[in-house]
Amino acid sequence: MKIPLQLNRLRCGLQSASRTGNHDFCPGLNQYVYWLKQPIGWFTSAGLVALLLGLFGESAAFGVAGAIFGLVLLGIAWPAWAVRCVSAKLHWRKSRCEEGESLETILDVVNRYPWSVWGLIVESDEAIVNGGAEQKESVSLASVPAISKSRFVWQATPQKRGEYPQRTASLTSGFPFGLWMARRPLLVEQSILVWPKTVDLGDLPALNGRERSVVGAWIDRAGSEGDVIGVRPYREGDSLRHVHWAQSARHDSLVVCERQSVARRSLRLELFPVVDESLSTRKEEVQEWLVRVGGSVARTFLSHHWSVQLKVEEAGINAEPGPQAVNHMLDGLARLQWSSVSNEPGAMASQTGILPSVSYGQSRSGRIGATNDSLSKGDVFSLGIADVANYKRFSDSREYKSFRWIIIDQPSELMSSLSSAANLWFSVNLEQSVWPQLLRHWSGVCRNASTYSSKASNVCVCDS
Amino acid sequence: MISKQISLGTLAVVIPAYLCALFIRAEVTWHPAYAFGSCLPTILLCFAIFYFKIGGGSKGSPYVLLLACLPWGWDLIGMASQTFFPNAIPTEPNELLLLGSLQNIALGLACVAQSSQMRRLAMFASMMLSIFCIVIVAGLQIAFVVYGIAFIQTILIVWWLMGDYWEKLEPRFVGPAQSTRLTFRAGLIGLSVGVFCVTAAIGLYVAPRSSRLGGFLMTSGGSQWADDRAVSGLGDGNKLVGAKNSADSFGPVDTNLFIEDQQPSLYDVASEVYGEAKINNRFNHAFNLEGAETRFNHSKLTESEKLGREFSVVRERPQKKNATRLEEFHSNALIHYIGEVPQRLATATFSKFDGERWSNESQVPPYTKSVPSLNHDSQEKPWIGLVPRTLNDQVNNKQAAVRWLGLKSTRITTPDLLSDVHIDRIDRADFFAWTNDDVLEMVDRERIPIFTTIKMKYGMRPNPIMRTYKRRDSQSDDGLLSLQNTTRTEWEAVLESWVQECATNEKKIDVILSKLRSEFTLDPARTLDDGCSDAIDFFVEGKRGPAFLFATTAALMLAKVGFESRVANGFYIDSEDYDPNSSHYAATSKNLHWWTQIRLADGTWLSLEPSPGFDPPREHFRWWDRIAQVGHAIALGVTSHPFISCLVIATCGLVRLCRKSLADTAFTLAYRLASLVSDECRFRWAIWLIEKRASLAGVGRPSSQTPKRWFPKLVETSERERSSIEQLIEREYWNLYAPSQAMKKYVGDPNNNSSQVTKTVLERWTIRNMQRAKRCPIHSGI
Repeated sequence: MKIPLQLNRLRCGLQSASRTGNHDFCPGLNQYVYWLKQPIGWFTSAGLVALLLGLFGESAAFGVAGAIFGLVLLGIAWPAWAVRCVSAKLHWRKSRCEEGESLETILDVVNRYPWSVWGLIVESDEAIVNGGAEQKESVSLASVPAISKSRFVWQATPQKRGEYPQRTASLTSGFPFGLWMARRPLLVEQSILVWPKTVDLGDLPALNGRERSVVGAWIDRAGSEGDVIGVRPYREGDSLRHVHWAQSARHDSLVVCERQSVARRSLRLELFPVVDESLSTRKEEVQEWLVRVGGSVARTFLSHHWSVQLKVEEAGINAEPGPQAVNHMLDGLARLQWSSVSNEPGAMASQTGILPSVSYGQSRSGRIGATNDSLSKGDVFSLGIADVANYKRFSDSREYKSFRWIIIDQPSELMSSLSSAANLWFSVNLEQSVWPQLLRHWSGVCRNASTYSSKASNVCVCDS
Repeated sequence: MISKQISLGTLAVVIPAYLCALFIRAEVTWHPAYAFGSCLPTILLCFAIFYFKIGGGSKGSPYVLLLACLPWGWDLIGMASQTFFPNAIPTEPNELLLLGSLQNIALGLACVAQSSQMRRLAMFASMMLSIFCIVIVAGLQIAFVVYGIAFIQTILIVWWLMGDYWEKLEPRFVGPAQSTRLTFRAGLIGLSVGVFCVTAAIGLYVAPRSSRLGGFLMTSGGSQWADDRAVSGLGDGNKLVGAKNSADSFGPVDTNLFIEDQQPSLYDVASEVYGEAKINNRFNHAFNLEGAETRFNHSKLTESEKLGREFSVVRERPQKKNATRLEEFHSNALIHYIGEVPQRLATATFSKFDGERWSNESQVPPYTKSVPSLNHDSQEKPWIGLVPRTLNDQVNNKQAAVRWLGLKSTRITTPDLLSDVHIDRIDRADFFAWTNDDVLEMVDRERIPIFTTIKMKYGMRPNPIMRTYKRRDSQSDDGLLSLQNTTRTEWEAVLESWVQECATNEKKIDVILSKLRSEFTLDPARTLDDGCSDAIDFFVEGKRGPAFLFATTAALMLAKVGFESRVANGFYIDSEDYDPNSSHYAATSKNLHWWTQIRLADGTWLSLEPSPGFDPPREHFRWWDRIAQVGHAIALGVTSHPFISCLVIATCGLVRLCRKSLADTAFTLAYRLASLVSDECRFRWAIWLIEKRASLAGVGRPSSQTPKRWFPKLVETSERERSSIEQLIEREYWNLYAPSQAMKKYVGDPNNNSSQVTKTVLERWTIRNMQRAKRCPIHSGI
């Protein structure tokens, strides 16, 4: 029994020695000694040693130094020449895709020289050159034939939203020795937008509040509801119920009444950046899930012809329902950059009533600037998506009294204690699979409208 | 766990360095057994670690690292004992112990290397080890062994680096989905080719002249000095502006002209180079003659000698005074030459030798000599014809030019087979005449005027295999080189020893010349010792002497073996004399040379070069000459080595008969070597081997047939054998076209008995079986 114990101690001792040996004591110096970790670094070192030995010792070492430096020279000149022989263009068959979706990436390489070029590597963002979680290695090209235009196609699986390439894509080569990598930038004519992954939530939940906030107000736009705002000649398809018979008789032709129409129903959706320092390791993950869930919610409301005004930090995205609304909303979310967190994101907006926003919609004008926001008037449905800390921080404030909340966070005692809060729709646990939870909770919200009704009449706006 | 191949590759690179260090330690330590004995446990331990790791050791296992550290223990013990008990235990010097530590570190790292970084570290350690070994080994007996091993290691490092780089790329190789060849831009390529051709033409033909211009506009100079860019000179008399880049240009080439009475004659030149002729202090009976007769004889000898008609091989040591006389001039060039080099320009020939002195007084006019006649070329320039037209047609005509500078002589420097000469505006054939020693001269003049440019046409002799030499008639004294000395001299004994093995007389010529050129040393300053009577014996005994002794000895030996021979004196010009500034070859007194001539059956004289360091005379090889030369060499080889020739012919016949078996053996050997690499290689090379065998059997696979449809039909097989080859081909298809992961599963399966399948196929699909099936009428598939 004692021997295994001693072996275990020995093992622990060796492991601690290994940890000590691998500890980075001077991280600031890494930038200066990084080259030593590369093959060219240790070849150069060996060459210098041979040179010194030649100078102060045996002259035969000069031959060795010459051979080593010759090898280094060849290892630099060959790839440098090789990448200058080719020109390449990177492009995609479509301009948008979603996180986790397979993306066909095309690289056209032209080699105008009468010799083949071997061992090229495509260097760019992981999202473009990686084949998914299973294939982390960069794409490489065994050879590009001489005097030819070759097309290389591979399936990339971007795992993170964004506009790619985010860094300069380049064609590199270290062939034949890998001592030094020569680079040549790739031509990228059009970038690819990777949307956050969203799911179709289907129905909208039963909403409560004032009638107008649920069904929308009348506006003086020609429609078929509300009061009469004018008359016009009959057009084929008009209902006979709208015929203004008196005017028709007077003009000896059918004249119909024009009535008011219902204004768009609006959703105010606000995403709160994570400020909880304890979440520093998973902060990015939580924020990305905020975007994904927010995108799913916005997409669902837009598909039901709601006007969605999304607010993230100090920027906003307005999307009026229409053919391009979902694209504009998700494009905006794809480009969203989480910046430094402002201390009072919601408070500042409530004080001024002005939001710097990006507006998309029927006008199709992407204008950025201060717009008179109607969100503060209370005729909209407001939804906040945040982590627990932000929920605790803002949910009780006056400005966010009317908000319904979705919490996305790691499980904690605090989170479980909030499950019975009145304005909380549901919470999503990040340690479990997120999408099934979201779908389950969402369908629950849609199914059981009374669960969330607290004030006046509930008006269900579920799809028929 | 890393693959076995990568680990083996790293070990393969480290082991040569390890061996280098081991050999050094074995050489230097007090007993080789100590070094080998200390390294053996290390090697065993490291290979045990390697086996353990490959066999399933986990990555980064501390036990493996611990084992890797153990080899250092031996060296640590050695260092400790060396430090604390220097005389107690005989170990190695500390330097070698440190080398041993590095040796063990490199091997240990190579054995435990799990990651790319570790493998690189092992590589670095082995490189450093090799460098230190190369430095330490200098001066030891095993230096070349270590250098050789280090060279092999260098190749392995290059191979390893390429493999390491390729290994990184391999997991995500993307093949081209489509590849289209770019169309050639005919206009662009045509333009490029045109530019290239024009540039090449300029470089090859125009540049030698135009590069001298220095500018685009031609100029006559324009300064008081000769100008490099001047083409043909300008003016006359005191207003003459000279030019350098054409022999046609009459003008000064130097600022420091020869003063007429200081211009050297041929005699002066010879005296400067070889020294004055030694006065022979022999005592003879004498009586007084009349004073007038005495003066006449004395003046005649002096004049004869000064005209270059005599030359004594017994000479004083060259005086420095004479040398400096010519060196006083800024340019000591005697003539300028334009033409092909190497070139021999004769100024005199000598055919009479009395044991001490060469003379040419009684020489018989050569057969080729004719009265000069005036001809005109296509540009109506006057050329003086010197030989009968029939002889002129037999040789390959060349042109050269000589510009006369400082040499005071009427004799024109004459190349072999001189046929025509031309001096601008000289249209008088009677200005020229042959001397009786076969050299052209300008008659009735004191000297050839300075700056005279003489253009020449001469022949280059073709090189037939068998030349016909004129044999000398020993009975008649025709004025040629005579050997009347009845006493057997030392050089004659040497000659006999040289030529006794020669079957033909022509072979004797080659032997004499090759012996002189290879066994003797050229020494222009060597003179005859006092008391030595025979200069040739003195030369043959010392095997060292000036060029005239080489030429004299060769001429005498050739005469002795029965040929008509003589010596020639003149200038030898080669590429070292080229003056790039003036585009001329400048001949000075240093170019004075002696060589031998032998007479051919047509009466012409053929120059031979007996002196080492001088190129033999150029010859013109026609294509049939070269073919005849090769044929002659083969015939000579066959006749001289009949047994070996028969053996070679028999071997060739045997190889011809067994060519298919031999080719099959070679291909099989290549397959066996390739099959050691991997299973993929085995499949590929097995298919390749069957392809080769089918070709040898005359049933090569047409391009319209796939291997799977063609190969099974080639041999009458059982069902099992047929399935074997289909299985093999199918595996090769997997090898070529399946995704790498799938192939790994397929190949890596230990139960796939791939070697058995391959073995069965190769045993059955032999050339013999294929030929048998081909002959079989039932076999209708092919």
